Amino acid sequence: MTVLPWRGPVRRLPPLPWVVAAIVVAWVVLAGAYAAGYGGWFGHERAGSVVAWQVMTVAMMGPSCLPVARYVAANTLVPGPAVALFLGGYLAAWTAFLGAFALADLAAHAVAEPGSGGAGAGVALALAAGWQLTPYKRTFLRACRTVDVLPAHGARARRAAGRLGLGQGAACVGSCGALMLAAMATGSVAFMAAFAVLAWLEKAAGRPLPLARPSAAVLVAAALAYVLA
Amino acid sequence: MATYTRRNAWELETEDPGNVWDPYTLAYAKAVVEMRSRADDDPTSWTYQAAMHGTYTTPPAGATWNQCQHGSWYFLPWHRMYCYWFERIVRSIVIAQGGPDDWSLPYWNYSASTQQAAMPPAFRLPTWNPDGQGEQPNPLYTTHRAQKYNDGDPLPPSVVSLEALTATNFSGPPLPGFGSVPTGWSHEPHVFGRLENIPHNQVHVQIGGNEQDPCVGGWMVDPNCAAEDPIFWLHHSNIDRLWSVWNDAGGANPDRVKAWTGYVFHFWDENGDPQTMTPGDVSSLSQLDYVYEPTAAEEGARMAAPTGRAAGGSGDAVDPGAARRNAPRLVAASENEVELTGGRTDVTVPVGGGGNDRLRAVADPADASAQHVYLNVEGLTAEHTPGTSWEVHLNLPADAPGGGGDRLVGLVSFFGFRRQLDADSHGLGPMVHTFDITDLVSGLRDRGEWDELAATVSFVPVGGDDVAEGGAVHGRPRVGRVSISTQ
Repeated sequence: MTVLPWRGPVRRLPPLPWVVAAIVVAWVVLAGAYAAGYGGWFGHERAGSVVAWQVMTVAMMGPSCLPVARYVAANTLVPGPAVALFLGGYLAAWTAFLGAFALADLAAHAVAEPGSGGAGAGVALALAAGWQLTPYKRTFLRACRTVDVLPAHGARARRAAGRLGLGQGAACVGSCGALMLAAMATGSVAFMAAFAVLAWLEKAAGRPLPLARPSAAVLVAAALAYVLA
Repeated sequence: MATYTRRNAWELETEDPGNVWDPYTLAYAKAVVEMRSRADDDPTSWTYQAAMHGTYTTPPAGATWNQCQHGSWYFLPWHRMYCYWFERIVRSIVIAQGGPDDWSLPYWNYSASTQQAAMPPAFRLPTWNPDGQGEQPNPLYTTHRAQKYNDGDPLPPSVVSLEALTATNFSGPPLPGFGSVPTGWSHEPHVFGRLENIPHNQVHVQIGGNEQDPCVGGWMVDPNCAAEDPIFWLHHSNIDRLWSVWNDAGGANPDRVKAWTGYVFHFWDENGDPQTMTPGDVSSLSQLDYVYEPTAAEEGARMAAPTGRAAGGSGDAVDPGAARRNAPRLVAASENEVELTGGRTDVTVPVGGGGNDRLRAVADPADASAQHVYLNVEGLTAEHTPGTSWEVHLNLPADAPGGGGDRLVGLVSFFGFRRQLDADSHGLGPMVHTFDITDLVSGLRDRGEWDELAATVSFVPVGGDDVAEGGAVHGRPRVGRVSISTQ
């Protein structure tokens, strides 16, 4: 039977241990890099940042994306390639978003200098707080939680999985992109972990949780703290 | 100790032949008028109570609207609680109006006979003459129904089948179980339990008829306006009764699962005060203040029920623990979306070598990797909800007309699909109907009638609202995929 990722006996879905392992490794790399003073790689001033963004995306968005990957694995007859293409599409959407932001930011020398703290981080956090309260956020979140019937066979299944990954990635960028940029701006692994938990709660909770206002309030408080520090 | 007895609406009315307005039905109608006169934000008003089930109207601040649970193991307990608090509100009004002080919610036992498969007469009269005040619109009547049922047509037999009472477990295996699968909050339906699918869903779509736009046209066909129709409450009283019949026959609720017993839902009492209740509070009627009068149909169902459903919940020959531990495995699926019509629609499901290996594993008693074969009708969607049900048959011969038979797997409808389109929904996946076809596939294989290359799944319309034979059906109903899986 089709098993939805968000409800019901999720434990019955294929566990995808390699995806779980990738998420754990990404967190280890992320925390290690910041602890060792290489946090700048997760910004945009390095040529290697594209790789670093994959690590950050896997770490922060991986947990909330995992149920859909398991859904893909359970609902096609080519689970291995389908899951790989789904995840590839998902990462591609995030990479495109982070790349576009980096280019825009480099051009404008504007807000959210990665890891710079201070006013830039405060502005990024405030923008993320505002985004949490918009109806667009709710629309993107709904899309981010929505999956459809997949073709089961061969090339059609693989293409559909890739498209689902791109679509889910784009929706999750809309839902969580502002949080991701705020996390980059703070340069704080603790913030990244908190944002990952928030993203997971928003996306994976079986019932809509009233998280928009509380999370916005916390983000505003954090923004003030950065600005006033 | 039970204080109230819920009675068969048809038999209430036949106690005084020729007078459809027996004291209980009359009191209900008067209470409906009173509730409809109350402000929408009054929790004891008709609008508020109906909106608790579902509505397209934006709720006022703090309102507990859009609470109904469907496609979920909370379906049965939530609706029991919902009817319980509604009944208390109505009873308080009935007593205030001088009606019977033992008033309780009647039930519509559409499975009892062909006569009772028609709506009770009082619900079909466009006008009434209460207390000799002249003809007025009957509060129990609405034009938001399929006209033929307002005209007195009986519901088709397959729509009111009590086959669900043979289910061995509340939440399966075999899936989907009597009361549907474990879920979290489930206002958007996903997998329907057997009782929820038949007769519950099918009666909803048949009575409601075609929905033109949200809540325009049929009411019962859409969860977001179904409770506006006074017959809704008698329908759910009957579903609640059937749950108790299943329990009385040995069916066990998941009383030891805290996720089920402890989930808190919110309601309002007759004084407009908030109340909370959990499935654990209503798992047995002995915890509440009402009972149902026994019926012949109930006794028949008991006799038809398989033995061995003692507490613990399984009369299965297979090991339910093993089935729970196994992951579901997709073994076959159709290629393309298909639109259902007013005629028979066949869908080919290629099986292939690997799929047949999995099916053989199910038949092998020495192989515990899979114990059930399921047919899944996935991704039901439409532009508008059609007031039609479809029989689902497996490998139905080309010249067979449908209408039951030994290849019948079950029924599907599109009840609740529109929640998928609601911008304020929490997002969800495809709506699915899952049927246990283990014995059917086994029988076909034993008789040499199983095609190793492909299965054919046929959809045959039943009792549709204005369905032309072979023609297009209102709302362009589509099925995204038909699949076979094992677990």
